[in-house]
Amino acid sequence: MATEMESLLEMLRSGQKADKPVDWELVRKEWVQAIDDLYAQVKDWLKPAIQDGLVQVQEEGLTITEDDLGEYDTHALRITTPAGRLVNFVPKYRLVYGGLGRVDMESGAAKQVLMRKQPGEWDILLQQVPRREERLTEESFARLLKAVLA
Amino acid sequence: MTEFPSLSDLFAEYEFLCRALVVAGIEARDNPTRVELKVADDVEQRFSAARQELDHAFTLTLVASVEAAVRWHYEDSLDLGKPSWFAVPANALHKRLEDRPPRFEDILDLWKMTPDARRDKDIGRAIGKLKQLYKRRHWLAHGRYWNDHSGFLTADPYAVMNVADELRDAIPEFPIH
Repeated sequence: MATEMESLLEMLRSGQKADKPVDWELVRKEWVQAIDDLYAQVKDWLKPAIQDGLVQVQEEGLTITEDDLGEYDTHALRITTPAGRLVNFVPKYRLVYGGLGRVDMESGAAKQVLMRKQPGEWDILLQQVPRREERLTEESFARLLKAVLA
Repeated sequence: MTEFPSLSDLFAEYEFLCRALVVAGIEARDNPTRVELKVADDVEQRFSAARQELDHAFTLTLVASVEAAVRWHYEDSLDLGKPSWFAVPANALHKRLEDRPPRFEDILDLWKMTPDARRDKDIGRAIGKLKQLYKRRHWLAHGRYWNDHSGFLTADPYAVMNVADELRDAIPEFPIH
């Protein structure tokens, strides 16, 4: 069992950590990398469709400004079908309560919020009221894209 | 819908309208003339613009709903004198303004005096976010004729709900109706 002194030291140490200023440059870099990783995953899932010429995928530059993070450059990802249907992945912001960033999947009137819950883990926000979420996987992504392109 | 709908009621309505718009967009792709678009019109782009307008409208509505609940609580605490940590500075503000209604931002500053807020800098950050959303609401409500300086250009109904969740968790007594 920890003594009172050990407990005091632990408290002071955690207080020290909490008071450390956030390295926003690092947060920004990590977020931009997370977006790139998401796109790499999406492209990997779509590899057969890309190879068969059923979809085209391209990235477009995008500048975002956020409190604390300032202005930074990232990309939107555009998926196009031969019939001219478009689906865009658009990063919204890194600083979000209950998550580590938000990217929207947009097509016409449809908009699907993807929330980054942990590094490498994204959830699809299916409904806000009442809240329903689903982990973004190859299966759920295919289902989502199918619904958006229906 | 009741006369004083809750934030959740309003958001459920927003989600319903989004779904309806998506269905209308699918219909319009096959038959553009049904929504008075010419065949050659870019249906996707037109519906994307419609969604953007729906998002703007509901961003305004949801922030207005939060404002209404916060003002309601302010009036209530003046009448009831509680909770005292809020009612005392609220009364001082009321007297200073000589019965004129306070600015929303001034009421929000009273919330920073909650005993928790003094401890927790996250509460200050959440209140700051709400102030940004209020500026965004102001920009939307006044016809968007100036450049939006809210600092929250990506604000949409989901962002409003996210800030509301943050406030609710940071200050359990925060009056989000």
